[in-house]
Amino acid sequence: CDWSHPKMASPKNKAKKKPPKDSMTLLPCFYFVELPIVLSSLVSLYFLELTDVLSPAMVGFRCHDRDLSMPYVETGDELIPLLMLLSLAFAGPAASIMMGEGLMYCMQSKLKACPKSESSINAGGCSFNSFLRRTVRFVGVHVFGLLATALVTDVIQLATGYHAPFFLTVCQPNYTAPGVSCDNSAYIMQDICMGKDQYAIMSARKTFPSQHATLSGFAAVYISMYFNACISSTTKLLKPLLVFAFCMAAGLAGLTQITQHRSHPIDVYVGYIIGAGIGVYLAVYAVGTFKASEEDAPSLHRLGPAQQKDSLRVLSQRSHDSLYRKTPRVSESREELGAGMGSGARSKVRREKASLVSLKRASADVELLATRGPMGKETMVTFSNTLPRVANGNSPISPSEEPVTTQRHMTFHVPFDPQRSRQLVSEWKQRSLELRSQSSRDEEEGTEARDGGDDGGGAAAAAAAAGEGDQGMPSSLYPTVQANKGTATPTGARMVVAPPLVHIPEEASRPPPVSPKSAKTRAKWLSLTEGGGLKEPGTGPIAVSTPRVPNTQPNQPSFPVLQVIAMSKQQGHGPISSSTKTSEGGSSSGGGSNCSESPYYRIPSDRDSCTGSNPGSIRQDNVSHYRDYRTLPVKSDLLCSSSASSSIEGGAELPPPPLPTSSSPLPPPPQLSSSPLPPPPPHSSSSPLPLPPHPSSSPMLPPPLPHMPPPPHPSSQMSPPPLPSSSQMPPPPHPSSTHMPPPPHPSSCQMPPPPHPSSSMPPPLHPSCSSMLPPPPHPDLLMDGHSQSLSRSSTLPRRPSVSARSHAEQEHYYKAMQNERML
Amino acid sequence: MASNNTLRSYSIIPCFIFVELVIMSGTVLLAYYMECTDLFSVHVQGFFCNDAELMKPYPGTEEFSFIPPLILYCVVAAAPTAIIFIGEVSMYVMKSTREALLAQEKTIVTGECCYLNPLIRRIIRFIGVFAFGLFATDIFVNAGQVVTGGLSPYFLSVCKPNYTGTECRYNHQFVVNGNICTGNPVVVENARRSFPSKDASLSVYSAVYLTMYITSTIKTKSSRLAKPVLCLGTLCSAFLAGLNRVSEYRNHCSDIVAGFILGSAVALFLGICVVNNFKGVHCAAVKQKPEDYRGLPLMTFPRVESPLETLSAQNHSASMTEVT
Repeated sequence: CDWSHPKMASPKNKAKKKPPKDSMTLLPCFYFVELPIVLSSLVSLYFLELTDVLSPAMVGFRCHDRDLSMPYVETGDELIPLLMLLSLAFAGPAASIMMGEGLMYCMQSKLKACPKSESSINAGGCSFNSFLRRTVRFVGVHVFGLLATALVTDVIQLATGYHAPFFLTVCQPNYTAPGVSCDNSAYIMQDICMGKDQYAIMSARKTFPSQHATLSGFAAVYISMYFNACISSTTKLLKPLLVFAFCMAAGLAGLTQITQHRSHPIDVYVGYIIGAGIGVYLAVYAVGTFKASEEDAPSLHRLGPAQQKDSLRVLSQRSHDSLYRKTPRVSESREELGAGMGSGARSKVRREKASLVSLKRASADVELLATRGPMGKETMVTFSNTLPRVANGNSPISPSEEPVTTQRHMTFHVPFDPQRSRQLVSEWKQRSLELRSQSSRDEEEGTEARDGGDDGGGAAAAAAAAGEGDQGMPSSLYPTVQANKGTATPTGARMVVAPPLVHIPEEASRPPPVSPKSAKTRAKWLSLTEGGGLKEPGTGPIAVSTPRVPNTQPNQPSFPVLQVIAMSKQQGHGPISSSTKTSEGGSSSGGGSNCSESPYYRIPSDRDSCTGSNPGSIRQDNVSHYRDYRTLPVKSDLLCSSSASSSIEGGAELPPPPLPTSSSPLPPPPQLSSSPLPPPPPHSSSSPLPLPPHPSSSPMLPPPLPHMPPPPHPSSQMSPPPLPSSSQMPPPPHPSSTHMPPPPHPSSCQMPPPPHPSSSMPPPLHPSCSSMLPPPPHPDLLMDGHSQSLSRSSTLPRRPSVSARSHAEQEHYYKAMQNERML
Repeated sequence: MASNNTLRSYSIIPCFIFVELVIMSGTVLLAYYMECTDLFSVHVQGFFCNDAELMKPYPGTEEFSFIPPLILYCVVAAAPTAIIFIGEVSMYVMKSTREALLAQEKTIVTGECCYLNPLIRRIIRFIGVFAFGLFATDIFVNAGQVVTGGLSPYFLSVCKPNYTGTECRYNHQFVVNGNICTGNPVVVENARRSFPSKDASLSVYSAVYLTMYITSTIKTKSSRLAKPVLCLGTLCSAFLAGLNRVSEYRNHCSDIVAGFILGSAVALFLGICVVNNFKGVHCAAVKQKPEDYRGLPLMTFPRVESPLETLSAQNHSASMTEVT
C-alpha cells in the first residue's frame, strides 16, 4: 500500500479490503458514501454554476434605480476572481490543516500517546494512522463544505434572482420599449435589457448571497474552529493570530465585492452568515469540533489490563492451537475462531498442545520475527489475505477475504523488505539457539530445529527433515541458519534459502490437513532427502525443497517427492548450485522489488501486488508452490484434477503462450539458469517453452526436462520463465539460487526423475490449471488435490518463494510427525 | 503550598520571548504602519452625484468631537488595564480569593531564581491578550477602511467635487472617478475612512473584554448590584461613544454597527477561546495523564514462565492491539 497517496492507493486496495473490526466499514463507507456525496455535489455545482440549465428567477427593478446603476467591473478585472477565491479558500485551510496535523502527529510520537491521539486503522491492507485519518477527514469535510456552500449559494441566488448593483449598467434597459413607462409605475417586470453581454446580465441576476462571502466565510470559520480546537493554549497569541489572519482575509474578500459593486452589502453580510453557519455546523457535527473520535481510545482504555491479558492469552492459545491443529478444513478453524475468545478449552487443542509445545515455541519465534510497530505495518503484507483465500479456493481478491478477518489475530504480517526479514531471521536464529540450549532433550531440539527450519524457510525445513533422520542434523541446522546471516558454515548453502523465507505467516486457519499418512510419507521423504543431502555437500538446498514437498503431498508423498527431487537436481545442476546462492539470492532479493525480490517473497507478493506482472509461468509456479505447501484439503484439487488431468495437455498449452512471449522477450537462457527463473521454469517453463505449441508434449517435457536434460532444458525452459521473472524483478536470481540447491538433491536422488515422467503429467496439469484459471490463486486451489504431486514437482524449484507458506505446512507436517511419535 | 503549587518549566520564558513577543511586536508594527503611514492607500470609492447621504455638514476635525480620539484611545486602553491590574492584585491580596486563585494557578519555577507566581502570570496574560486584541482590532478596522474606502457622511461637503460636463446630469449617475475633489486632501482622505468605525469597534472591544473579566472574576456576594452596574456602565459608555459618532455625522449607522460587531467578536473570541473566560489554565483544562493505552497492556502483561512464552504473549498482545 502506498502511504504517501492514501487516497490514490486506497481504491486499488479496495478489493483487498481486510479491515480489522473497527475498519470494516471504513473504506466502503468512504467509497460508497462519502465520495458519491462529494461527487454528486460537485456535479450539481457544475450544472448550477457553469451551465444554463437553470436560469435565475425574473425579478423586476425600478427605473433608474441608483443601487443598480453601479459601474460594472469586468469579471476578469475583479480584485479577487471567483476562481482565485475558490483555490484560496480550499488551499489555505487545507494546507493549514495538513501542517497542523503533521505537527500534531510528530509531537504526539514524541510525547508518547496523547489522550487525543487516534489509533491507526487497518483497512484494505493499508493501515491508516491518525495523521492520515484526521487529515483526510478534515480536509474532506472542508472540501465538501466548500461544495455545499457554493451549492447553497447558487440555489439561493437562482431562487431569489436579485439584481447586482451593476445590473442596470450591463442591462441597458430600453425604457422606451412598448408597454414600459417610467412615469408612474416605476417597477418594471419585463425583460427590456438591451445589453449585449448576456453573461454579464446573467451574472447580474445572481447576487443575493455573495458567492465570495459564503465561500470565504465558510473557509474562515472552519479553519478558525480547527485552530481553536487544535492549538494548545500554552501560546496565547498564536491562535488568535492565525484566526484573525484567516478571518481578515475572508472579510476582505467579501468587502472587495462591495467596493467593486459586485454585490450589495446585504448580500455579503448574508453570505457571511450562511457560510459561517455551514462552517459551524460541519465543524461541530461532522468532525466533532476536530476532536479525536472517541471510539478508538476509550474502548481501549476500558479494557482493564487484567482483562486484556486474559483475552490475549486465550487468543494466543487459540491461535497456537489452531495453527497446530490438524484441521482439514479452513472452515473449521474459522468456526472455532469465530466461536470467540471465550471458549477456552478445546479438547483437541489441549491434546495436541503437550506434544506441540516445542512447535509452539517455534511459532512464537516466528511471531517474533513479525514486525509489529506502526512502521512495520506499512510495509507489511498480511498473509491472511492470501492464505485464507487460497484455502477457500477463492482468488485473493475474492470477497471470501472478509471472513478471514475473524482469524485476524492468527495472521502474521510479513514484511516484504528483505533486509528487514533477514534481520528478523537472524534474531530468530539467535533466539532459537538460546531456546535450544535451554531445551535438554534431543528430540525437542530436533523438533525445534524443524520448527526453525519451517520458520526459516524451506531450507530450514529440509534441514529439519534431515534432523529427523539424524539427530545430529538438527544441531547443524542452526549453524546453517546462522551461515545465512553471513557466518560461513558448511551447510551455508542450505541456509541461504532460509533467510528469504524468514517470515512465515502462521494462520490459524491453516487448512492443510496433515494426515498421518502424509506425515509418514514425509518422514520417508525426509529420510530420502537426508540421504541425498548428506551425500552431497550442497544438499542443503535440496533438503529445503524436499521438506516442503512432503508437506504438501499428503496423498502421494513418494511420487511428488521423487519428482521434486529430480526437479531440484536437474535445476541445480544447470545453474549454480555450488555458488553461494544463498547470499546472492538474499542480496538480490533485497535489492529487488517486493514482488520479484526473492522467490520467497515472491509468492506473497505475487498474490498481493504482482499477480498481474507474470501472468504466465511465474504465477502458475507460485501457485503450484503455494498449493504444495498448503496441503489444501483438495477441494480445489478436484476442480483442477478433473480439468487438469484431462486437459493437462491443453493446460500446458495455455501456459506456454504466456511463457513464450516472456521468453521471447527475454531469451537469455543464462538468466534462467542463474536467476530465480529456475523455479518457474519447472512449472511453466516446461510447458511454456518447449510446449507452447504442443500441449501434450509440453506437459511431458517439463518433467523430463528436469530429470534428464536438467542443464540444457532447464536452462532453456528456465530462460523464458526467468525472463518474466527477471522482468518482474530479482526473483529470478533467487530462484536460481534456490534451484541450485535442488539439483544436488536430484543427483543424489536420481531415482525421482523416473517417477517424474509419470508424474510429469501432473506438472503440465498445473500449467493447464493455471492456464485454465488465469488467476494465479485459482491454479493453486485447483492444484491442491490431484496436481499436488505435479505441482510439487513443479513447485519444488520455486519453493524458496513459497517458503513462507510452506512453513505453515511444514509446521503441520512436523506436528503430525510429533503426534506419531507421541503415539 | 509551594511544593504542590509549583511547576517547573523551562520553556515558558523562551516561549514568551520567541513566540508571544514576536507575534505581539509584529502586530504592533502592522498597526503602526496602517495607522500612521501611507503604506496602504485607501481605496478610492465612487459616489453618486449630489448624494444626500454624503452631504452632511462637516463637523470639524476629530479633535473637536465630543469624544476626542486621543481621550477615547487612552480610556479604551487604560481602563481595562487598570481594572484588571487592580482586580488581580486585590484578588491576590484578599485571603478569601487568594485560595481559589492559587488553586487555579501554579507558581512556575524557571531556573533557580525565577519564580513566576500566579499574580504575575495572570496579570501578564490578561493584559497582554487585551493589548493584542486592541491592536488586532485596530488592524481589522484599518484594513476594512482601506479596502472599502467607505465614504463618511460629510464626504461631499469636504470633497467639493468639481463636476464637469455631463457627469452629474442625473442624480442616479455614479461618479466612478472619485478624484475630483477640490477640498483639503487630508480631510478628504479621512473622509474616505468610514467603514467600519474605529472608535466604535475599539470602545466596544475594550468594554466587552472588561465586562467579561469582571463577570468572571469578581465573585463578591456582598453587593449584588456592583457587578451589573460596572458591566452595563462600561458597555453603555461604549455604545454611546459609537452612537456619538453617528450623531456628529462622522459615521454612518452601518459603520457603527459593523464596528460594534467587529469589536465584540474579537473580544468574545479572546475572552472565551484564548484566556478561557479568565480562568486558570490548569483549572480549565484538567490535566489528563497521557495514557499509553497501546504500551500499557504490553508492559503490564503478566509474567510468563519462559521468555519465549513472554515474547509470544507480547506478540499476541501487540497483534491484538493492532487488530483492535
